[in-house]
Amino acid sequence: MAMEVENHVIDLLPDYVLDILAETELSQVAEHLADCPTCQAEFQHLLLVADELPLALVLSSPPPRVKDNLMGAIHALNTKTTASSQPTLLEKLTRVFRMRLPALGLALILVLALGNILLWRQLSSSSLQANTPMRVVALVSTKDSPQAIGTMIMDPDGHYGTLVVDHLAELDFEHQYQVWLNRDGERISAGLFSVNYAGYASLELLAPLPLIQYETIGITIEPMGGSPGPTGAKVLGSEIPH
Amino acid sequence: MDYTRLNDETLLRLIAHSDETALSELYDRYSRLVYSVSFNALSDPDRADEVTQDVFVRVWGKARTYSAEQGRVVTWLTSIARHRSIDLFRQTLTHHENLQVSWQEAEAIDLPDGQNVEWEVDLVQRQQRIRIAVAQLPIEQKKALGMAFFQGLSHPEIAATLGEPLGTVKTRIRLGMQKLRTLLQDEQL
Repeated sequence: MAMEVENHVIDLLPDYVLDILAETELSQVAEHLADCPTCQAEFQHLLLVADELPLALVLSSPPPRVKDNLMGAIHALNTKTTASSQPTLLEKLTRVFRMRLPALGLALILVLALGNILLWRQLSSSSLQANTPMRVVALVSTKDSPQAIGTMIMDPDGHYGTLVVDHLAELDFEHQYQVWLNRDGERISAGLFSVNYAGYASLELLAPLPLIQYETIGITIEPMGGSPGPTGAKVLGSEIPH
Repeated sequence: MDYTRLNDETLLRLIAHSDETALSELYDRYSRLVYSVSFNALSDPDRADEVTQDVFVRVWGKARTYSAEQGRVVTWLTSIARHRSIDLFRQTLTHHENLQVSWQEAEAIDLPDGQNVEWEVDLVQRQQRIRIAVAQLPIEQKKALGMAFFQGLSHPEIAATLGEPLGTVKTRIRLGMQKLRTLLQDEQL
């Protein structure tokens, strides 16, 4: 019986490696692999096959503009990152005053801080807020990410939307967050994102139907580049009210 | 510094330190492969362009988290490209009938003129090995395997597209992968 079970899992390993195994069999294979050295060895061999498959393709080249656009974007990003790491004028001034005139420097900081508070209050006043009845859906965090915050903001008709998240863990290079929309038992991917060092990200949600027509939204941890279906831990989710 | 002689892991370390020339070199090495993975999934050159650019932008952002123990750099690149392409394929729900994966015929590959750097030799050898192995698969197995791996289609979807029984498709994919596994292992002995 044990040998039959082992053979059965070995037969499932090619599909497991290709990510096309039925959900009902996924956990069976994963659990078996955890304790079976024979199947683990076979799994590793098949993984190596999958790694090599792209090298068997006929190769064609992207047009030169792809590299031009890429390097332009990277250069712009690189330049912006370098600039933001430079000390601000306030920081430079503060250092100067701290070194030479501590009392005056402190007073300057207090004056600027007071000015910022007054400006923030102005911006927050209702007279300056736009009267835009956007639909807002607050996502609920799970035990796998209890500090996470997520909000889906849709246009008044519920057609389009943007997801904003905060306090999500920064993932390693092999993983990303993937957004799922569910409708009538069918899940579709609405996008992928990575968070910055603070755990923040925003993403325009893409779906074939208006967002309001979906029943729930969820975010899971998936391999870099995404998965055909959810495979990892769920971190945020919510029903979509109609 | 001659970036063409650096191995992939060194390039990534440089990219992690915001070295644009290193990213440019990595792009020159593997953009064709990344683009081809995407094109075979999407059959749309514009979207394949988009995925290609996206992959290398991600490399730029995630290079600092890469370590050699986690696998080859080229495998990482093609994995991102494949998953991203499958994700886009499913988002747009454009299932192409008879969408063929273009497997390269097994033929001798000449190294580029001039320098035979280590990464180039390794890549060419690996390409030859897998192409010879794939060429030994029956055409039906190649077709089903290509649809599963590059397009992320499920067994029922492949069966419906090919007009074949579900069990037949499952068997072809399983046998194809197992044969490749045997051929590649024999080649390495």
